[in-house]
Amino acid sequence: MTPGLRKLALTAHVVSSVGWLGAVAGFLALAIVGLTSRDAQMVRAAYLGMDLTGSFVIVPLCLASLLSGVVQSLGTTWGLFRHYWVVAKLVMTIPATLLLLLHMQPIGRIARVAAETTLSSADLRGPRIEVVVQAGAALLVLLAATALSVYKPRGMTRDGWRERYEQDPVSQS
Amino acid sequence: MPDLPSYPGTPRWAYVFGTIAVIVLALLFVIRHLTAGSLAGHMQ
Repeated sequence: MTPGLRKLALTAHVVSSVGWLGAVAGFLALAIVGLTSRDAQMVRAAYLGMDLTGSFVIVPLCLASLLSGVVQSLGTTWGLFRHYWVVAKLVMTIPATLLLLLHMQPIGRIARVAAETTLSSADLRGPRIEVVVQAGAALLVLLAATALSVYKPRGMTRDGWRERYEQDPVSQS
Repeated sequence: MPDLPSYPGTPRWAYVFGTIAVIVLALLFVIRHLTAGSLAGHMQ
């Protein structure tokens, strides 16, 4: 990868990842309002907003972050499976993406119910609590992924270690 | 070519991280199953 292309991929990855984190924080705020507010209009607005934010902001940013992260690691010396911190980010991001895609349907259903009827605090209590929990967990995962990217804790995988040594045995011995 | 030096092993933070990840995933799975019924009931 040329330096210019590498910086472009890095910019895309940082923007999509940080955007994803910010969008999830907003989503969590809406989920808490939707669960706790006694104002029916506010509850309806919160769930409709969550459905739109999820579909048009969070899902695209999530996929962009995953894709740009894979491109970034494969196109640089970090590699995809050479360093534990890269593997850890991948291990967090893939389930988070799958869970997000899985949860868009229930969120859409809650939004439809909220649009058609007035949700009382007892209506759909379980799924509404679940949405708050999932959004909170997603925020923690994204904060952990951001911290891993900044701190880049040491530690190479066995394959990464062997590959590095085979490429440059003198400086490693 | 000199022998491959011994692998220093997996860092401790990776084990801690993996353990926390498994616990969080298990908790999410449990919460999902505890709350899954009410949405299906409402939609019928």
